[in-house]
Amino acid sequence: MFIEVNDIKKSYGEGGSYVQVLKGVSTGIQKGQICAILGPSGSGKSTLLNTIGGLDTIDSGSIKISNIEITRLNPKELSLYRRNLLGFIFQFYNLVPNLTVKENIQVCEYLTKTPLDINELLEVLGLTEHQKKFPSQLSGGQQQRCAIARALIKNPELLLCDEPTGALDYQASREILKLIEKINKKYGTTMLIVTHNTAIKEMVHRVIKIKDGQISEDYANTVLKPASQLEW
Amino acid sequence: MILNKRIIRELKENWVRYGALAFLIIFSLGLVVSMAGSTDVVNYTIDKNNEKNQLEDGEFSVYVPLTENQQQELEKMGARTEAAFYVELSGPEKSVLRIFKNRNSINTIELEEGRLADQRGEIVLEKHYAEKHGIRVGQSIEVNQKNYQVTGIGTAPDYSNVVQNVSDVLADLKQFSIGFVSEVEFNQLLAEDINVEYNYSYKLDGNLTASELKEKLVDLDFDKTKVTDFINKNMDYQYVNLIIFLEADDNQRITSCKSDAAINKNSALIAGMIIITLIAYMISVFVIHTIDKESAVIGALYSMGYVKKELLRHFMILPMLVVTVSAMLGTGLGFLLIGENIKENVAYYSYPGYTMVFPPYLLIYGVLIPVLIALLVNYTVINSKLSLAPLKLLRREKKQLQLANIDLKEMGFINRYRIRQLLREIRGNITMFFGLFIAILLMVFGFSIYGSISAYVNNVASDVEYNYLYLLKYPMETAPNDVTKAYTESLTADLYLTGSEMDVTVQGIDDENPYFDFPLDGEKNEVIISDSVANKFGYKVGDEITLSDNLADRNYNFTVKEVVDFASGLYIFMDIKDMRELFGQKDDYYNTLMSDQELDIEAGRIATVITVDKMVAAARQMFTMMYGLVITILGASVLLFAIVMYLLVKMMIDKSAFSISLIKVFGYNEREIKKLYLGTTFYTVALTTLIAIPASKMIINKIYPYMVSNVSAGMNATMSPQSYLIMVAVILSAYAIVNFMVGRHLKKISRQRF
Repeated sequence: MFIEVNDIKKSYGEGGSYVQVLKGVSTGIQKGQICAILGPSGSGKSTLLNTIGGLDTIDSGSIKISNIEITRLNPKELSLYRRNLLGFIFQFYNLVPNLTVKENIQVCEYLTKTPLDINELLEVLGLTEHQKKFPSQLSGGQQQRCAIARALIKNPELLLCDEPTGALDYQASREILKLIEKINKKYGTTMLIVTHNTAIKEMVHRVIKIKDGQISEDYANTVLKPASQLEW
Repeated sequence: MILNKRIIRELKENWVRYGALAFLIIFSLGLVVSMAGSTDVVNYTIDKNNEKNQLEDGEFSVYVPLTENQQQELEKMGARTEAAFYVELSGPEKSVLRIFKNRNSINTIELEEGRLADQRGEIVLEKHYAEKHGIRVGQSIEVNQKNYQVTGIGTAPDYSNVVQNVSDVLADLKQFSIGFVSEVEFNQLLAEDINVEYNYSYKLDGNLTASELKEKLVDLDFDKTKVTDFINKNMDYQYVNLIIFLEADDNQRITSCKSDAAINKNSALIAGMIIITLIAYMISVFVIHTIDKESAVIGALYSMGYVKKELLRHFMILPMLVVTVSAMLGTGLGFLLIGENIKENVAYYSYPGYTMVFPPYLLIYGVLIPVLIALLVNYTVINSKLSLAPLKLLRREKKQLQLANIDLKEMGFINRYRIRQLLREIRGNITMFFGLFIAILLMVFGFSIYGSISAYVNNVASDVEYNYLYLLKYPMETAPNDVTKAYTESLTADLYLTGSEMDVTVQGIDDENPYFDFPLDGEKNEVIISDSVANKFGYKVGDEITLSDNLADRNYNFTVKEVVDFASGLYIFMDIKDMRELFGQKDDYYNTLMSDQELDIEAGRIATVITVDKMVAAARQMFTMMYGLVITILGASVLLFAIVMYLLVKMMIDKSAFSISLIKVFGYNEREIKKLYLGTTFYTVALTTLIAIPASKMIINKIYPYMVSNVSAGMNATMSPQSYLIMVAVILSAYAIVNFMVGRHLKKISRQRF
């Protein structure tokens, strides 16, 4: 397994404000798969994504990514882990406002010695004509495409997407999903997508549903529906 | 790193903010470096001139000239002496010229133009005197009703401060100066029976100390037959030949130029550091604002694998760039302004044309230290900000101040909102407090200099009731009518401010003296001191004070009975009978005459004439000299006040843009929004003003005496009630202007932001 999550528990707060967000979650994802994590707000799906991304710690359990036990890494090693293995896509893009599209992508190109070809990436993501624009000059969909390019330029083994279509309209969301599908096929990137959009479950290899801090459903799709045919 | 490309864009987007900060750094460093640099230029020029022209180690004057043998004897012991006899003659426009013969080996003349006087009827004039009277080389000047051809214009190292008496507060360059004639001419003047002062300059070769020389001079025998009848009648032979013994370090004609400059320099360097620290901190506040604004982006970069070191380096570049470039420009400007800054010094003190020097320490001070301060401040602040966990940055979580959760009970909504806004922006408000505090401190300093000199000018005019004071070398057998006799001695007192001594004048007066209205009864050792002395030396009623007669190596103890208003000089008054007894003088002895009218006394008898007009004129001259500095300080303080307030208030508004937008959507009108967001600024400004004005006054009261420590008068940092009103008006005006400007910015915040 590329991702191995074993009995992880995570809680916040103390006393009256104590909340256990993850109550012993275990799962595994194979390399090259797209996995959707679904669930209602507060179910713990983003926390699961963040712990896998080394952005949040756990109380107990183990998380192995590409055979690395990331729960034992110190902050410096976690930075290196994220630098070498991960790409992140966020709901609100988080682009550097005073850098152009191309420069935003180059910000992450700097982090690796073996980046993908930036011009090819711009082409794949339909950003060639926008490469000199600043984020404020782009639509939401274009900004998210830029964020995806930024995450992909490092050619990460694992792409973590937190509500990648959450801030987008229907059409833009569909375009983004089509891109995710395309990238997975083209670069073989393993992807973990946290989403509220249940339609996504039909285009991914694995679906994990979380409810109240526990996995309520975990299954693999044998037939995948192309993103272009998704309706919601 | 590609991320660094955003630095120039950030700079362009916020050019007003960074431009204003850069301006403050350039302006303050320019001022500081030019002030300190001009001091160094003055010091260098004077030191070089002193060395070249063999500045004396000291001087002394005697009743009867030394014999050649005595001079040789002194030289063998280790003290080379050169006669610097002088006569005082009347020059144009009622001025007094102190005429010396040309010097050979000590305090030699540095000519700026022309040549030395080597014939009869020729003279070399001190440069400021020549300039003030519009005299050039080749022209003639009437001195003592005789025409002299001016062959040269120059300076002498023992008269860089051209004061007539070493205890004079200020030089009057038009009314008193020095001139040099040939030996033949000087001898002719002596032959004309003009009263001569037998003054000598000396240089020690290291084998003899000044006090050993003084002892030797006290012991030297002198030819009593050469003493005039007057002295014979009035002097007791227990007295020694030595009248004055003055080491160069105690001679303000030599030292005051450098010490004046040193005080300016030290004050400027300290003020510069305070301002740079404030600006460095302000910049870090802005960088933090940027980090807060881009918190999620920074979180995203951490998520991608950026490490703190890389981001810290990145966020440090802009403040360091702004500070480094501004510091370099400011230092460069400072060096360029040295010539401008030195003008007043050059116009007042008498030394040769200055040589420009660029001391390396000023480069360190002007560039390296601001950079180091900025590095330290920004590193500390930014590092702490970037130490937040990536997830917290992504979620824009901030450390919530406990203070912001303060229970405000039943307070009205508007005030509650304002206070919460103030507490939320506590960092910005504290920075603003310190910024405004420094601006107010500068303002108080400016007004205090103004007030202090104004008060001095006014008090000199009002406290001194006689019009003429004649200090006589020898008393007259019959004093003129309508004069008041007094007895004056010059002693020294320890000045705690400098750790050195300063001359004070002890004046014996009687109860009938019409110019003073305080009673003199009491114990024999009781004295009444002027408020000037009280201020200068920190004496209070009841204090036991010790004054020294350095010539006789004797100390006198007195008790302060009363402090009276008398601004001019440093005067201590006592009963004339007690004073005669104390100093071993005859019962009717006097050496001072006070009068309403000018007296007709032969010139040779007079040691010094003090007129109220001259005192007031000198005080006014001080006012004129300081006027430029006062205006610069006040201008700088207003600029600092307005810039600091504008930048910080605007930043706080920018930080609250989202909530302002929200409030607009809720339907609050502009007036209400201004109340909510700009009202807090008023609290900070009002609080700062209330605290800073009295606190600054206290600080200035403490440091001001050090700044005027070399002035022979006690001057307080005084501020008139009008000055306070003007200051408050300036503060309120600056606040109103900034409020208006930020109000316009507030209007521009769109509802769409929300």
